[in-house]
Amino acid sequence: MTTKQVYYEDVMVDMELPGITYGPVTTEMMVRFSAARNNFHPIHYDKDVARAEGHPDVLVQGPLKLALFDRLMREWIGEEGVLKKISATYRGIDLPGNTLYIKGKILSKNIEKDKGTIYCELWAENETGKTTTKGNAVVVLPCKLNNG
Amino acid sequence: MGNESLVGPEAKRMIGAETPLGGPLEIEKGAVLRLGQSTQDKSPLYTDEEFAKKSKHGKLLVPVTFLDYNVPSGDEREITWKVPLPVKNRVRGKDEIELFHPIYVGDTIRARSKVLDVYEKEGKDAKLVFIIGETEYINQHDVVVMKHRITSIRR
Repeated sequence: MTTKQVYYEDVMVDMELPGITYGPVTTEMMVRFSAARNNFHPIHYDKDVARAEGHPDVLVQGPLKLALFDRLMREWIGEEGVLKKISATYRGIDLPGNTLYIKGKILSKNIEKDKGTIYCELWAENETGKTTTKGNAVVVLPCKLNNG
Repeated sequence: MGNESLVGPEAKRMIGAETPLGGPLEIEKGAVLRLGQSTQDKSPLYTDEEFAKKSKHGKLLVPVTFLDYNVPSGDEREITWKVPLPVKNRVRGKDEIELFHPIYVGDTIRARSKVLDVYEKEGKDAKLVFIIGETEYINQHDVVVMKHRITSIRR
């Protein structure tokens, strides 16, 4: 998939980023993510362990939502964009069967050390409308001025 | 739950504890592609070798979520999970990543982790313990490519 390169000058504060829909999440999708990361915490695949810790089912991995934030940002910034910082704060749980809607918007933009720096807010909602994860990202985008 | 602190002197003593620089991991293309498949990532810089070769990078990039458990000493089990606490249930509270240099397929990455802080807070139903760990990732050129700070919560 190739996308048109976005430039610093194209970006407006409060502009929404192109979102991602992931799911409905299945246990297989979660196990694939665990395997690729070499993290086999049973709370993500063993319902008995999850229930013993007071959860209704196995939990969608927090870092899966971080990975989806990362995917959203990288798909948006294109080949010339550079990811500098990304974060995720887990405020609620998601379970198998939930669909995750990964969204973002522009908080601010500045030229810092001749680089077009963009500050973004990110969040993950599920189909109930609940925001279970919030995050932020900082990226550098190319400037049209520097690209002829 | 009584008023006694969950964070005892042994736990407090682990603040500042650090792993040695762990054994290297050479990042293999197939492993990165499997991570991309799990998140349905189609970014060509991460999935399309021919596209990546023609880009300014010249090779495939690695997503930031690939490293932590895959790289020895980046795994939180090796340090923050060892903080002795009377509570065992554990959830991830926050991830914060700062990238200093691109990470490429074929790079050889080493990591070291340390405990930055251990403290408790009153939760809705019980006391919660917050453990902050930070891992530094270093490539084959001795360049620090990424720092990853993880807040885990025990209750």
